[in-house]
Amino acid sequence: MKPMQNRDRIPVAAGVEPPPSRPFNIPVWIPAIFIAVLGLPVLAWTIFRAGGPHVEPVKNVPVAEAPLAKPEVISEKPAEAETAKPKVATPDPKQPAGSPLRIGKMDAVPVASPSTTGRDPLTLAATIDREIDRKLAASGIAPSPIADDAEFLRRVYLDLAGHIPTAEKTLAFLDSKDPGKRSKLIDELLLSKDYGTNFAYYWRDLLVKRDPDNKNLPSQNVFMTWMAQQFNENQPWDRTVHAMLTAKGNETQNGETFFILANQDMNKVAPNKVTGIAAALFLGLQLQCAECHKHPSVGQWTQQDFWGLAAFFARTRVMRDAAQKGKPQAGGAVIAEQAQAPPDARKKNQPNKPEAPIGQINIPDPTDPTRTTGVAKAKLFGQPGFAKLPASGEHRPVVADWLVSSENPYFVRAAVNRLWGYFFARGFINPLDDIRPDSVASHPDLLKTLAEEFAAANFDVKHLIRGICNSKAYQRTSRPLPENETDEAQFSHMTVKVLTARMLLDSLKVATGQSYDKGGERTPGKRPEVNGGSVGFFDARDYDEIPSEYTYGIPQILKLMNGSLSKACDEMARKLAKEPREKAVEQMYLTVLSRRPTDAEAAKISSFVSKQSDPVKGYSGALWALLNGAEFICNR
Amino acid sequence: MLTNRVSRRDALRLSAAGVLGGCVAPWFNVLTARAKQSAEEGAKHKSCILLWMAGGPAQSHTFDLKSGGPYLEISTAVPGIKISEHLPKVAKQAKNFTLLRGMKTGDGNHPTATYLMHTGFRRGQGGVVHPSMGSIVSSELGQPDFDLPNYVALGTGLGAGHLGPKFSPIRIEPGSGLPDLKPADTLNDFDQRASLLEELDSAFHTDYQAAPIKAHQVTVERAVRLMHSVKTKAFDLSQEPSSMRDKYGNNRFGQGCLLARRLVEVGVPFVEVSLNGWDTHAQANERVKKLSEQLDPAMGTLIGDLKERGLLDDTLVIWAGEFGRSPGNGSNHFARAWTTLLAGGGLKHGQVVGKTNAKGDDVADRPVSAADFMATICKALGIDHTKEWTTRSGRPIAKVGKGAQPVRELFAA
Repeated sequence: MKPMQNRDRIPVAAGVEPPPSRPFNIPVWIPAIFIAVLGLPVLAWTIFRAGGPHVEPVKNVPVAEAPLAKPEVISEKPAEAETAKPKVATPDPKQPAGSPLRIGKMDAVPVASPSTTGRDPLTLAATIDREIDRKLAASGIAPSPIADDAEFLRRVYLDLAGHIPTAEKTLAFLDSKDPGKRSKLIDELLLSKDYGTNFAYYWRDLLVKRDPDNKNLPSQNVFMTWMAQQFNENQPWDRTVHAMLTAKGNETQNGETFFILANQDMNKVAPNKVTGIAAALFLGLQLQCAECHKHPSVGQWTQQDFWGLAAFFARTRVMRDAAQKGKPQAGGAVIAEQAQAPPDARKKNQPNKPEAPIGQINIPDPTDPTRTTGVAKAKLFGQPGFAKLPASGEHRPVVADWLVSSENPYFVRAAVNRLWGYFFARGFINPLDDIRPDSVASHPDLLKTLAEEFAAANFDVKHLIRGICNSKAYQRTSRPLPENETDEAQFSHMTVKVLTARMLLDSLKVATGQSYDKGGERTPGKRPEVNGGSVGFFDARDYDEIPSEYTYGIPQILKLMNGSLSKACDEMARKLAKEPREKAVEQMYLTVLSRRPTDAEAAKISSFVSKQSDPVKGYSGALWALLNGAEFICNR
Repeated sequence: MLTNRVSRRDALRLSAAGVLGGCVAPWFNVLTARAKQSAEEGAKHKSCILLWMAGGPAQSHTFDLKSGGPYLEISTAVPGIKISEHLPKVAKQAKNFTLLRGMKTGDGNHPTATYLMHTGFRRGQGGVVHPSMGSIVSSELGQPDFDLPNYVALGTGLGAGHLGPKFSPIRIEPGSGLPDLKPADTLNDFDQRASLLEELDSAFHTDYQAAPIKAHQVTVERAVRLMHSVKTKAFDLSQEPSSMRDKYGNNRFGQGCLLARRLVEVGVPFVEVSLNGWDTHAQANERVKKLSEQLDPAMGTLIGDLKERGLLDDTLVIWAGEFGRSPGNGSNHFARAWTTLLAGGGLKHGQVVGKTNAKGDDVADRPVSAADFMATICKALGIDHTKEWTTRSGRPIAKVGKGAQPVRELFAA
């Protein structure tokens, strides 16, 4: 994608109510006023929960009961909010001396858009911090101070938009005296198109397993457009998942068909793959371990559980839509329910293998594809009895309705655990896709609260992200203190993440103005691969890689060091050489690392430049070193 | 489980960090010294060259001819073993190889059979993607601080599956060498820039103490070492006398085999070279003859060349496709009874294991499954095929399918 295109035209809350001013650390009396004034019972429990741990939260708040709080009502009360303007964090005196970063004041005064159901993200942020801080105190771990503006700026840009900010944006943000600039930036980034694109790529990489069957998926662009739209329009997450599970029609029109199409076996829908990946990604369960035998370590998960879910997909077929004149959808794959599989064109003389009765599925013998070891009847996981199936033959809506419903305890938990894991490089339970009955969460109460909040907010993804990104926990520096450097589970400091291949190439483009994405065409004459081209070359991550895992290898680093980047450095250096030395070095740092250099760094670069035969060569070499450095390739 | 995954990864991080150790300026002297040292030590593990016959070669036209077939049989260096008349150079090496004429693998689809013969497993079961031979060898025999890639593929080269991309192949073409090895300016200028990079990274690491920072430093260091390494000359075929290049055959496959020998010589543990075009649904007689003209000089020379250089006992050469072809005219896919070949690797050779019946439409003696085949390769290379892997989610995965038996005739009692 092209991060450059939209960034300059980010609508700063255009067409949206002005973000209400809100306190960050809410004193107990503030919610009391809100409750008194607004009379919002559901908002009340959240705030009360935030305000005092002794208040029991309402369990499983049904989505429909969450009333719509009107943001404009809240914004009528700016006076209270103003008086309660607290400084959330001040520079930590324990910060090591001589650090290259100026730890400024964290002046984030609360301004953030409410959720679609009127829920306040800053209340959510305060709830997060109360729980994180309580656990930190209980474990005797000191938290690192809040990150300075530059560290926060680069982090939130990479996490939300998928690329670094421009030098101009950086300078404007660093020099802004607006106390609410952090919350505003979060809102601004959530309104940029790049937000949806970034998360669409995140999910594309999860939905498409690196399976030889998935080498070419022609409709991936249709899916990307659809998925980015789901995020940018902030469609409720349960609806997005439901749409993918029940997708029908032509791939060239319906982006949601991509999920089923990415789970085929020799051009046929593979119910076992669909089930395995849906359970892993949307429920956080490794049910596929029970595909060939009962789960090796969770004895109560049986083959019948796995295949009982797979049975809902047993009659889902993929057909080719014959190209017809005047029909825009002609030519693509079409998903539909069909009692009878279409005859296999390649095996004209052979009848199709006999299938299990409607609503059931054959369990294949793992060692011999021609045999089956039994049948499974459609059954919802963890539910007593078999599922009631409609006579229409549309079985997928039954499983999808259950999967995203509040009757299913796994769905919301998996969603919030995964989103938290995206930002912090660690979920409350890990791995994100392997939650077991005996898994121990690092913060069970917070996981539960976030799950309840997400459900109560009608699966408003932006709301959850606002809550997380406005929290102190998210805004802490990734620089550890001697007292917390061994902590990996209490979120005492932010984890240093590694830029994904796409983030890296898009950020190089922002920094140098040159494109390094050579598109998806790796082999001439072949269809573009799902993750081909330069991104494919640089993407050496494992499937569902932990964001803090460094995955670049020697070929990728050689390409960075000795590829076309050197030329781009020369070009930039020619411009820099016209500036006074001090200004040039500062510009270099703002452009590449989204911060100003320390005095020591400025001196080091200056001395390097002086030693070279001419300044252009010097600046080019220094730019090259910054662009190839760990600070650029990491999200600190 | 959480703990499994995290601890495995943490262990990897620690070991990656350990590579750099207390390496400080003068950085490049240390690198050069270390490169020299590892060059002197040489390879201490076995290597493997997979000659992949994409499309499924007809056993009836190569190594298991039947009377009345289109080709004549010729004698080989081993009395009693006869192969196609179009493979005379290979015939001379019969003392150094074994034919497995009882391959019985049961999968006649190109993509799934290619997967089966590269991994030993059926595709698409249990949500697992299995590692291919090259990735297994790379993970089991490859040295983490080896200058060169541990798995080089000229052609097919399947991926690493659940072992992760660290063990994926580097795909190259015989003539092009390793890409991006030369700096934009001079190596001297590059070293100055790289020193600044190293200083900046060290300072960043001092402040942030994070594993990925260390990992980046180690990777940059290894990339720089590779740029300085004499071993990269192995990729440069122009260093070979033209007589040798001619002997292997002046085509992509021949030059690929020569490159494979050069890579194995400097310690690369796995190289895969593909020869495409064996899917001979029509005109098998002419097409296999043409393919044999490429195969024969390349494979014959490769085995002989490895032998002369004293490398054959430590190098297993595998010749295989995804399946064979129907007996007679070799037109259709056929996985019930077909042939593969193993050479070198310190195995007992000069023999034929397994036999097809007179018509060639089934195995009459000593059937070998894909899993048996995989177990044989593992054993030949000194890899314990009975040991399980643990995936990142803590799930145990067999290295080779249950009940797989290495072909015992290949291993001296």
